[in-house]
Amino acid sequence: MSGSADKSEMTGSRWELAAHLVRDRRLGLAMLGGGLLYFVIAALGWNPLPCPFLQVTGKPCPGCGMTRSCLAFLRGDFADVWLLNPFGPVFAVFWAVVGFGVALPQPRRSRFAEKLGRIESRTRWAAWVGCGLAIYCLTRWIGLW
Amino acid sequence: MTAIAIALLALGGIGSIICWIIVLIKMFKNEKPLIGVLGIFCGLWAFIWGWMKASTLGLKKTMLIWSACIGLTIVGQVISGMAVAGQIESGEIQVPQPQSY
Repeated sequence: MSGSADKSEMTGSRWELAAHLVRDRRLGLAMLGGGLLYFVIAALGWNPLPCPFLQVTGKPCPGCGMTRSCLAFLRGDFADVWLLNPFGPVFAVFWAVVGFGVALPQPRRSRFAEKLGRIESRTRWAAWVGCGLAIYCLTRWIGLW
Repeated sequence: MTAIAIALLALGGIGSIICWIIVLIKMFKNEKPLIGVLGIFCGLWAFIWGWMKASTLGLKKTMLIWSACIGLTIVGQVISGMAVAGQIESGEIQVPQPQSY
């Protein structure tokens, strides 16, 4: 009984990403802080952590250009967003939601994470964005983008 | 100077990739698949996750080596930048002029 309950809980939470980071506040804050630090360094024109996927395969990964795309999005340069990585704004919104959730005080944070988790499990947005990124990546590899 | 830079970049790069793979394996074993998949495409995600779970999953040594490798890469980048700047100053390399349309 408890085994099946655990299993159903695992299935339900499989698609949670933002909710996972809001719940695990330490991890969420570390990811946000690290991401922000990297973002500031990238804005200054330096790339201290080159993409390991690009280093191994020589091909850009689906996330390559994401930081520059987010920077272009914040500048309001939508032509550059489209050229660099059209999924940049999706991740900018994702981090904004995580930042909002992590900043909430405890009882409200848990409720927010629960609601967010339900939305993520229902919409499975991560899977859709993942599929979109995979297709986008393939078009980049064959030179269509 | 360029040879030193290349050696540092290669050492740091190879070391980083090995540590990244070790962290990815731990990630897939201990987290949801979605978190692991993100780690494949975002090295920074795997790096921060590794440090956050270093004490609980026994990843401290790996993370220290990975951090040192990143440090080596940064030093390599600085040295190669200085080498290229020196070559530009001595006229060995010409900086391409931007074209005007």
